[in-house]
Amino acid sequence: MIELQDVSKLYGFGDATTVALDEVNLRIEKGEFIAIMGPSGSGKTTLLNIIGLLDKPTHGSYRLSGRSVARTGANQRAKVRRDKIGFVFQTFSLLSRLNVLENVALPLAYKGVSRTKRLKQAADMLAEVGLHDRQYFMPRQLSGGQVQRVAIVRALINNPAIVIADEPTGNLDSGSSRVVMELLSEVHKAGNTILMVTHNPELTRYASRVVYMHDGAIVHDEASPIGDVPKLARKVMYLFPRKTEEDDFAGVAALMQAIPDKKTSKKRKHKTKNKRRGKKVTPKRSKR
Amino acid sequence: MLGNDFKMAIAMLRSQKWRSGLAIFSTVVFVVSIATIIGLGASVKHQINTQSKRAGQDLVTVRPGQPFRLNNGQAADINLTYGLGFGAGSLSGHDLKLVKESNGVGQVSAVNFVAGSFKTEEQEYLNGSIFGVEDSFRSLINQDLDFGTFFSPLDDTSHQVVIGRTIAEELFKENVPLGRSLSIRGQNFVVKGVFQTFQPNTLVLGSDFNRAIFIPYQTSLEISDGSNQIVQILAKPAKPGQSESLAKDIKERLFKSHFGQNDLSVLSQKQSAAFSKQVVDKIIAFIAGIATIALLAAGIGIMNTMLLSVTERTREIGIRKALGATNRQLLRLFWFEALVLSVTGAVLGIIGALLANYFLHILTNLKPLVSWQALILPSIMAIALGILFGIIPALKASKKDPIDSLRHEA
Ligand SMILES: Nc1ncnc2c1ncn2[C@@H]1O[C@H](COP(=O)(O)OP(=O)(O)OP(=O)(O)O)[C@@H](O)[C@H]1O
Ligand SMILES: [Mg+2]
Repeated sequence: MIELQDVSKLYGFGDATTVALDEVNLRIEKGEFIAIMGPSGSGKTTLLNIIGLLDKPTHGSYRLSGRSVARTGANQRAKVRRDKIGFVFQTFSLLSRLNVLENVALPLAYKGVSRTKRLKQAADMLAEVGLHDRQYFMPRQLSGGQVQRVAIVRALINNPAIVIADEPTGNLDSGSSRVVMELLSEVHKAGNTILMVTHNPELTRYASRVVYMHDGAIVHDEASPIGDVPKLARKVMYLFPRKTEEDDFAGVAALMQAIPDKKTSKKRKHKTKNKRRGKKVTPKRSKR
Repeated sequence: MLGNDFKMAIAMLRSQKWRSGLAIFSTVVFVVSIATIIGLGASVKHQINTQSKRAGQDLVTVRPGQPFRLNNGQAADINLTYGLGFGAGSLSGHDLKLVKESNGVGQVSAVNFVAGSFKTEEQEYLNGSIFGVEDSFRSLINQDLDFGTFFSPLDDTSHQVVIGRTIAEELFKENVPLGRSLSIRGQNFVVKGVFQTFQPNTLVLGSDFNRAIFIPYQTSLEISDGSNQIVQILAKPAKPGQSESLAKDIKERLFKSHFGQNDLSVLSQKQSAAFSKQVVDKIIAFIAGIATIALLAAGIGIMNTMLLSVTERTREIGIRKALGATNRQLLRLFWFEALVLSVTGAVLGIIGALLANYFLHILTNLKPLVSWQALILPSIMAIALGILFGIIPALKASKKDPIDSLRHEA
């Protein structure tokens, strides 16, 4: 359903070129729940942006539902985003001036659905996840977990081909994280495709497949039975029991040490190439 | 969709009350000032018309200097019908003689300005004017008296005075001060009559006839030792309807006697009114031109408000784009908000102009005639400006890169 072939993304030019994605190959089938892990700056968000049609790849091809979309125009991309992609962001996912119901209905507005119709549909969907009593709340009146759940409902309203979530629980405590993950899990069980970035190995237990990234490339890709933390992630988890955010990052770093180096790793359908285009590894952004 | 845009726009206005308020305020100022200026202009023209009618169509006025020259900046030259122009020299007794000798002339009166103040035993009146006029003056300007009578030909050298309404009230403090006396330059004058209130003459500065007193022409020459200062000569043709030819004849005679110098003006009532209206139009255009600065301020205010709004709402723009809003849909959203600002300003401006009109009527003697055109014209200009200046921030919003916008916090 989603097919990336040799997708690269470069920022800047000349000596200052940064390779955010380095010839990534990725196939996502309908119904998969993919968790992406990797250290800060490894290109996870860049990959999501390209799959979500917010960004264009510098090289490579991208087919979404059989259609090549790597180089379509801005207007067309907006429409594909509207109809085929659902987004959940890490923070401030909702528009602060609209209430919950209007937020959920917004993608339908851009499709031209009448106000009464779309509000009705939004209300129905909110009811399904037990948020109907919050529909007239403003976003600031919701807890962080509730905001994310509303954002997930909104992402689903156009019945998209894929839901993309960049660290959806990154700003939540473990309790709220769990509630949000349970919702994503239900959405997955209902047959939806989900692509999620997370720094928390624990959360890979909800995923059906875990993809590890490093320096803009996919370095490991393993299927993971739902309910289980896959081998590689578990290794890190037991080595560094998660307590604080710093520990979390330490955990990620250890994870990266634990996995084979990207040059020698056997990646699915990825021919290892050694041309590195004068790669300049920029200082890693430290988040938060 | 439009309903949604409207709701968003209102929410934006309310969440940024001060900023939106200022943008709206400058629009309101523009609409109110333009509507009021146009209204005042209309009222002045209306007065010119009614005064012109009151004085009759046949009045010919002779004034020193060239009136209606705006560019030399002499505001005193703006004379309405029989208003008086000071500061442009004066006419001589010889000029008066020539006017009286002209072909087909009927009634004639000089208007001789006498410098100085006048007083009763109790009080001196400082801000009034004294004019020496002939017995035909009253019928020439077609102004009736409330009490008493005007001078007859027999009163030509008498020490009698006819006074304006305001003088009666402020100096004598009674409505009918007939028979009471006042003194000018040490000479005593007995009040013979009181004029009816002269209609307010918006643009005639320093010639409020309600604050003037009138004495016989000959007497006025005597008390100023023969040195006269004729600021105006009024004439009517003997036969009705001959004012144009009379004006022409007077002009020729005076022109010749002044050795071809163009230092005075002879105007028939019609020309006078037409000139006055032209002057009013010019003044309106001039003030409106200045008020256009207010229009620019309004436009920039709207643009600034929207630009700040676009910057502040970068994250929102990113989310909307991620959810599938096209550039055009975003353009419309922000453009619509600018439109709501300018329309709100225009509507409040109309209300403000009506209020200003109301208060000018009850608090001052200005009587602006605010027509619906006077209200609609600046409103449309303000809205057009909102559309024009609103497109820049809207374009900026629609062109934003979704990823950069999403990276923006809050
Ligand atoms: N607009 C940009 N201009 C230049 N470089 C960029 C830009 N956006 C991203 N990069 C670079 O691309 C690389 C990948 O960034 P990306 O945001 O995809 O990392 P990430 O894996 O999502 O990290 P994190 O876990 O911190 O979110 C980084 O080295 C980053 O500095
Ligand atoms: Mg990221």
